[in-house]
Amino acid sequence: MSKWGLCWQGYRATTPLMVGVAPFGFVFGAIATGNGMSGAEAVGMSIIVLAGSSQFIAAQLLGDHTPALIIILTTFVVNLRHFLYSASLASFVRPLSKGWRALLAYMMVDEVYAIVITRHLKRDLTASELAWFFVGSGFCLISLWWTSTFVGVMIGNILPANTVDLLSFTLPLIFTAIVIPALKTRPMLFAALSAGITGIICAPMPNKLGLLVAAAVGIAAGLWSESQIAPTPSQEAA
Amino acid sequence: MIWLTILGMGVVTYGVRVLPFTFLREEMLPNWVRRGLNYVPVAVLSAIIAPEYLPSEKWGHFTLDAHLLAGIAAIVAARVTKNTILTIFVGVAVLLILR
Repeated sequence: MSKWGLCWQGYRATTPLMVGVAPFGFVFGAIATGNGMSGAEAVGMSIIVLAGSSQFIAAQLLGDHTPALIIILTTFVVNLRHFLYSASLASFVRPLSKGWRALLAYMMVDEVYAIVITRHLKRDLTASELAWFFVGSGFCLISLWWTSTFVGVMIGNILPANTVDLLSFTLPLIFTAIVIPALKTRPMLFAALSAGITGIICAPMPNKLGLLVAAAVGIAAGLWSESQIAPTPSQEAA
Repeated sequence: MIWLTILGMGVVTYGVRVLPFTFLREEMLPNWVRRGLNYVPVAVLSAIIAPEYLPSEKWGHFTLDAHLLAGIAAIVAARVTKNTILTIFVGVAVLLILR
Protein backbone atom coordinates (compact mmCIF):
# COMPACT_ATOMS: atom_id res chain seq x y z
CA MET A 1 0.00 0.00 0.00
CA SER A 2 1.23 3.53 -0.80
CA LYS A 3 2.23 5.91 1.96
CA TRP A 4 -0.75 8.15 1.22
CA GLY A 5 -3.02 5.11 1.30
CA LEU A 6 -1.72 4.27 4.76
CA CYS A 7 -2.05 7.89 5.82
CA TRP A 8 -5.67 7.84 4.69
CA GLN A 9 -6.25 4.55 6.56
CA GLY A 10 -4.93 6.16 9.72
CA TYR A 11 -7.15 9.18 9.17
CA ARG A 12 -10.24 7.05 8.56
CA ALA A 13 -9.55 4.78 11.55
CA THR A 14 -9.56 7.91 13.73
CA THR A 15 -12.74 9.54 12.40
CA PRO A 16 -15.10 7.69 14.79
CA LEU A 17 -13.29 9.45 17.64
CA MET A 18 -13.96 12.90 16.23
CA VAL A 19 -17.47 13.07 17.65
CA GLY A 20 -16.03 12.47 21.12
CA VAL A 21 -13.05 14.82 20.82
CA ALA A 22 -14.63 17.86 19.17
CA PRO A 23 -16.89 18.77 22.13
CA PHE A 24 -13.86 18.55 24.45
CA GLY A 25 -11.91 21.03 22.32
CA PHE A 26 -14.97 23.20 22.05
CA VAL A 27 -15.60 23.20 25.79
CA PHE A 28 -11.90 23.75 26.49
CA GLY A 29 -11.93 26.87 24.31
CA ALA A 30 -15.00 28.16 26.10
CA ILE A 31 -13.69 27.34 29.61
CA ALA A 32 -10.22 28.77 28.94
CA THR A 33 -11.54 32.15 27.85
CA GLY A 34 -13.88 32.10 30.85
CA ASN A 35 -10.84 31.56 33.11
CA GLY A 36 -8.88 34.62 32.07
CA MET A 37 -7.02 33.25 29.05
CA SER A 38 -7.13 35.09 25.75
CA GLY A 39 -8.35 33.32 22.63
CA ALA A 40 -4.79 33.21 21.28
CA GLU A 41 -3.54 31.67 24.52
CA ALA A 42 -6.26 29.02 24.48
CA VAL A 43 -5.55 28.01 20.87
CA GLY A 44 -1.80 28.34 21.57
CA MET A 45 -2.13 25.88 24.45
CA SER A 46 -3.95 23.41 22.19
CA ILE A 47 -1.09 23.67 19.70
CA ILE A 48 1.88 23.74 22.09
CA VAL A 49 0.68 21.37 24.83
CA LEU A 50 -1.77 19.19 22.91
CA ALA A 51 -3.02 17.14 25.85
CA GLY A 52 -6.73 17.41 26.66
CA SER A 53 -7.11 16.58 30.33
CA SER A 54 -4.02 18.56 31.40
CA GLN A 55 -5.30 21.57 29.45
CA PHE A 56 -8.60 21.48 31.32
CA ILE A 57 -6.76 21.28 34.63
CA ALA A 58 -4.42 24.11 33.62
CA ALA A 59 -7.34 26.32 32.60
CA GLN A 60 -8.92 25.76 35.98
CA LEU A 61 -5.63 26.36 37.85
CA LEU A 62 -4.94 29.54 35.86
CA GLY A 63 -8.39 30.77 36.86
CA ASP A 64 -7.43 30.11 40.51
CA HIS A 65 -4.18 32.14 40.07
CA THR A 66 -2.02 29.07 40.71
CA PRO A 67 1.76 29.63 40.38
CA ALA A 68 3.16 28.66 36.99
CA LEU A 69 5.53 26.10 38.48
CA ILE A 70 2.67 24.20 40.14
CA ILE A 71 0.72 24.16 36.88
CA ILE A 72 3.73 22.86 34.96
CA LEU A 73 4.43 20.17 37.57
CA THR A 74 0.78 19.11 37.52
CA THR A 75 0.90 18.89 33.74
CA PHE A 76 3.98 16.70 34.01
CA VAL A 77 2.27 14.27 36.39
CA VAL A 78 -0.98 14.16 34.43
CA ASN A 79 0.87 13.45 31.18
CA LEU A 80 3.36 10.93 32.59
CA ARG A 81 1.26 8.16 31.05
CA HIS A 82 2.49 9.32 27.64
CA PHE A 83 5.93 8.11 28.69
CA LEU A 84 4.48 4.61 28.82
CA TYR A 85 2.87 5.06 25.40
CA SER A 86 6.13 6.11 23.78
CA ALA A 87 8.12 3.44 25.61
CA SER A 88 5.77 0.74 24.32
CA LEU A 89 6.44 1.88 20.73
CA ALA A 90 10.11 2.84 21.19
CA SER A 91 11.69 -0.28 19.75
CA PHE A 92 9.33 -0.12 16.79
CA VAL A 93 10.05 3.48 15.78
CA ARG A 94 13.81 3.09 16.23
CA PRO A 95 14.51 2.51 12.49
CA LEU A 96 12.90 5.88 11.71
CA SER A 97 14.85 9.13 11.31
CA LYS A 98 15.14 11.66 14.13
CA GLY A 99 12.72 13.99 12.35
CA TRP A 100 10.07 11.30 12.06
CA ARG A 101 10.42 10.34 15.69
CA ALA A 102 10.20 13.99 16.74
CA LEU A 103 6.98 14.39 14.75
CA LEU A 104 5.37 11.17 15.99
CA ALA A 105 6.23 12.05 19.60
CA TYR A 106 4.38 15.35 19.18
CA MET A 107 1.31 13.49 17.90
CA MET A 108 1.27 10.91 20.73
CA VAL A 109 -2.06 11.76 22.38
CA ASP A 110 -4.37 9.20 24.01
CA GLU A 111 -6.70 8.70 21.07
CA VAL A 112 -3.96 8.49 18.44
CA TYR A 113 -2.01 6.05 20.60
CA ALA A 114 -5.10 3.87 20.98
CA ILE A 115 -5.62 3.75 17.21
CA VAL A 116 -1.94 3.26 16.35
CA ILE A 117 -1.25 0.55 18.95
CA THR A 118 -4.34 -1.37 17.80
CA ARG A 119 -2.96 -1.36 14.25
CA HIS A 120 0.57 -2.07 15.46
CA LEU A 121 -0.60 -5.17 17.32
CA LYS A 122 -1.76 -6.67 14.02
CA ARG A 123 1.98 -6.77 13.17
CA ASP A 124 1.33 -6.29 9.47
CA LEU A 125 3.15 -2.97 8.92
CA THR A 126 6.82 -2.01 8.82
CA ALA A 127 8.10 0.91 10.90
CA SER A 128 7.84 3.40 8.04
CA GLU A 129 4.41 2.12 7.01
CA LEU A 130 3.16 2.47 10.58
CA ALA A 131 4.66 5.98 10.67
CA TRP A 132 2.43 7.06 7.77
CA PHE A 133 -0.59 5.46 9.40
CA PHE A 134 0.40 7.30 12.60
CA VAL A 135 0.63 10.66 10.80
CA GLY A 136 -2.81 10.18 9.22
CA SER A 137 -4.33 9.41 12.59
CA GLY A 138 -2.46 12.25 14.28
CA PHE A 139 -3.43 14.77 11.61
CA CYS A 140 -7.11 13.82 11.93
CA LEU A 141 -7.14 14.30 15.67
CA ILE A 142 -4.82 17.27 16.02
CA SER A 143 -6.41 19.40 13.29
CA LEU A 144 -9.77 18.73 14.95
CA TRP A 145 -8.40 19.62 18.39
CA TRP A 146 -7.07 22.96 17.13
CA THR A 147 -10.18 23.90 15.18
CA SER A 148 -12.61 22.85 17.90
CA THR A 149 -10.65 24.90 20.44
CA PHE A 150 -10.85 27.85 18.06
CA VAL A 151 -14.60 27.40 17.59
CA GLY A 152 -15.03 27.13 21.37
CA VAL A 153 -13.14 30.39 21.85
CA MET A 154 -15.21 32.12 19.17
CA ILE A 155 -18.69 30.91 19.97
CA GLY A 156 -18.35 30.14 23.65
CA ASN A 157 -20.77 28.15 25.69
CA ILE A 158 -23.88 27.72 23.57
CA LEU A 159 -24.21 23.92 23.42
CA PRO A 160 -26.55 22.71 26.18
CA ALA A 161 -24.58 20.97 28.93
CA ASN A 162 -26.35 17.62 28.53
CA THR A 163 -25.45 17.47 24.82
CA VAL A 164 -21.80 18.02 25.68
CA ASP A 165 -22.02 15.27 28.33
CA LEU A 166 -23.55 12.85 25.85
CA LEU A 167 -20.94 13.54 23.17
CA SER A 168 -18.04 13.26 25.56
CA PHE A 169 -19.44 9.92 26.79
CA THR A 170 -18.62 8.46 23.37
CA LEU A 171 -14.90 8.56 24.25
CA PRO A 172 -15.00 5.83 26.93
CA LEU A 173 -17.33 3.87 24.62
CA ILE A 174 -14.72 4.01 21.85
CA PHE A 175 -11.98 2.96 24.24
CA THR A 176 -14.22 0.07 25.35
CA ALA A 177 -14.52 -1.06 21.73
CA ILE A 178 -10.70 -1.04 21.54
CA VAL A 179 -9.97 -2.75 24.87
CA ILE A 180 -12.55 -5.56 24.96
CA PRO A 181 -11.41 -7.39 21.80
CA ALA A 182 -7.79 -7.13 23.08
CA LEU A 183 -8.59 -9.21 26.17
CA LYS A 184 -7.71 -12.54 24.59
CA THR A 185 -5.46 -13.93 27.33
CA ARG A 186 -5.98 -14.32 31.05
CA PRO A 187 -3.18 -11.88 31.99
CA MET A 188 -4.69 -9.21 29.70
CA LEU A 189 -8.13 -9.69 31.25
CA PHE A 190 -6.59 -9.58 34.70
CA ALA A 191 -4.66 -6.39 33.85
CA ALA A 192 -7.83 -4.70 32.55
CA LEU A 193 -9.96 -5.69 35.55
CA SER A 194 -7.31 -4.65 38.09
CA ALA A 195 -6.69 -1.32 36.37
CA GLY A 196 -10.41 -0.64 36.05
CA ILE A 197 -11.27 -1.45 39.67
CA THR A 198 -8.27 0.52 40.97
CA GLY A 199 -9.22 3.39 38.68
CA ILE A 200 -12.71 3.52 40.17
CA ILE A 201 -11.45 3.34 43.75
CA CYS A 202 -8.68 5.91 43.23
CA ALA A 203 -10.69 8.33 41.09
CA PRO A 204 -10.95 10.91 43.92
CA MET A 205 -7.16 11.31 44.04
CA PRO A 206 -6.10 14.83 42.98
CA ASN A 207 -4.70 15.72 39.55
CA LYS A 208 -5.59 12.44 37.87
CA LEU A 209 -3.02 10.62 40.02
CA GLY A 210 -5.54 7.78 40.35
CA LEU A 211 -5.09 7.11 36.65
CA LEU A 212 -1.36 6.54 37.07
CA VAL A 213 -1.85 4.35 40.14
CA ALA A 214 -4.50 2.28 38.36
CA ALA A 215 -2.36 1.84 35.24
CA ALA A 216 0.58 0.69 37.40
CA VAL A 217 -1.62 -1.78 39.29
CA GLY A 218 -3.02 -3.12 36.00
CA ILE A 219 0.43 -3.64 34.51
CA ALA A 220 1.67 -5.33 37.69
CA ALA A 221 -1.42 -7.57 37.74
CA GLY A 222 -0.85 -8.59 34.13
CA LEU A 223 2.79 -9.46 34.84
CA TRP A 224 1.86 -11.37 37.97
CA SER A 225 -0.83 -13.35 36.16
CA GLU A 226 1.61 -14.10 33.35
CA SER A 227 4.14 -15.48 35.82
CA GLN A 228 1.45 -17.74 37.33
CA ILE A 229 0.67 -19.30 33.96
CA ALA A 230 4.05 -19.85 32.37
CA PRO A 231 6.97 -19.40 34.73
CA THR A 232 10.24 -19.46 32.78
CA PRO A 233 13.75 -19.21 34.25
CA SER A 234 14.20 -15.63 33.01
CA GLN A 235 10.90 -14.56 34.49
CA GLU A 236 11.74 -16.19 37.81
CA ALA A 237 15.02 -14.32 37.80
CA ALA A 238 13.17 -11.09 37.14
CA MET B 1 3.17 34.94 32.19
CA ILE B 2 0.42 32.74 30.79
CA TRP B 3 2.49 32.19 27.65
CA LEU B 4 5.46 31.12 29.78
CA THR B 5 3.23 28.67 31.64
CA ILE B 6 1.95 27.27 28.35
CA LEU B 7 5.51 26.93 27.07
CA GLY B 8 6.58 25.11 30.25
CA MET B 9 3.60 22.76 29.97
CA GLY B 10 4.53 22.11 26.35
CA VAL B 11 8.14 21.31 27.23
CA VAL B 12 7.29 18.76 29.95
CA THR B 13 4.55 17.15 27.87
CA TYR B 14 6.70 16.84 24.76
CA GLY B 15 9.65 15.70 26.84
CA VAL B 16 7.65 12.86 28.33
CA ARG B 17 6.54 11.81 24.85
CA VAL B 18 9.86 12.12 23.04
CA LEU B 19 12.36 10.74 25.59
CA PRO B 20 11.51 7.06 25.05
CA PHE B 21 11.83 7.64 21.29
CA THR B 22 15.28 9.19 21.40
CA PHE B 23 17.33 7.92 24.33
CA LEU B 24 15.67 4.68 25.25
CA ARG B 25 16.94 1.44 23.78
CA GLU B 26 14.97 -1.72 24.34
CA GLU B 27 18.11 -3.50 25.55
CA MET B 28 18.40 -0.91 28.31
CA LEU B 29 15.17 -2.13 29.81
CA PRO B 30 15.00 -5.10 32.15
CA ASN B 31 12.98 -8.07 30.94
CA TRP B 32 10.03 -7.45 33.23
CA VAL B 33 9.70 -3.87 32.01
CA ARG B 34 9.65 -5.01 28.39
CA ARG B 35 6.93 -7.56 29.14
CA GLY B 36 5.10 -4.99 31.24
CA LEU B 37 4.89 -2.61 28.29
CA ASN B 38 2.55 -5.10 26.57
CA TYR B 39 -0.02 -4.31 29.23
CA VAL B 40 0.22 -0.52 28.92
CA PRO B 41 -2.61 0.03 26.39
CA VAL B 42 -5.11 -2.23 28.13
CA ALA B 43 -4.19 -1.01 31.63
CA VAL B 44 -4.23 2.71 30.82
CA LEU B 45 -7.41 2.59 28.75
CA SER B 46 -9.20 0.48 31.37
CA ALA B 47 -8.11 2.96 34.03
CA ILE B 48 -9.59 5.79 31.94
CA ILE B 49 -12.81 3.94 31.06
CA ALA B 50 -13.91 2.42 34.38
CA PRO B 51 -14.33 5.69 36.35
CA GLU B 52 -16.46 7.06 33.49
CA TYR B 53 -18.93 4.21 34.02
CA LEU B 54 -18.77 4.23 37.82
CA PRO B 55 -17.65 7.71 38.89
CA SER B 56 -16.67 8.58 42.43
CA GLU B 57 -16.02 12.10 43.63
CA LYS B 58 -15.24 11.18 47.23
CA TRP B 59 -13.43 8.16 48.67
CA GLY B 60 -15.82 5.22 48.89
CA HIS B 61 -18.77 7.15 47.42
CA PHE B 62 -19.77 5.85 44.00
CA THR B 63 -22.31 7.34 41.61
CA LEU B 64 -24.52 4.48 40.45
CA ASP B 65 -26.51 5.72 37.47
CA ALA B 66 -27.30 5.20 33.81
CA HIS B 67 -23.61 5.48 32.89
CA LEU B 68 -22.89 2.13 34.55
CA LEU B 69 -25.64 0.28 32.69
CA ALA B 70 -24.65 2.02 29.45
CA GLY B 71 -21.06 0.95 30.08
CA ILE B 72 -22.00 -2.67 30.77
CA ALA B 73 -24.16 -2.70 27.64
CA ALA B 74 -21.23 -1.29 25.64
CA ILE B 75 -18.87 -3.94 27.04
CA VAL B 76 -21.31 -6.69 25.98
CA ALA B 77 -21.75 -5.04 22.57
CA ALA B 78 -17.98 -4.78 22.07
CA ARG B 79 -17.54 -8.42 23.10
CA VAL B 80 -20.26 -9.69 20.76
CA THR B 81 -19.88 -7.39 17.72
CA LYS B 82 -16.21 -6.25 17.92
CA ASN B 83 -17.52 -3.14 16.12
CA THR B 84 -16.74 0.41 17.28
CA ILE B 85 -19.78 2.14 15.77
CA LEU B 86 -22.21 -0.46 17.14
CA THR B 87 -20.57 -0.22 20.57
CA ILE B 88 -21.00 3.57 20.61
CA PHE B 89 -24.57 3.23 19.38
CA VAL B 90 -25.53 0.73 22.10
CA GLY B 91 -23.86 2.75 24.86
CA VAL B 92 -25.41 6.06 23.85
CA ALA B 93 -28.84 4.46 23.26
CA VAL B 94 -28.90 2.90 26.74
CA LEU B 95 -27.80 6.19 28.31
CA LEU B 96 -30.49 8.15 26.43
CA ILE B 97 -33.25 5.68 27.31
CA LEU B 98 -32.37 5.53 31.00
CA ARG B 99 -31.71 9.12 31.86
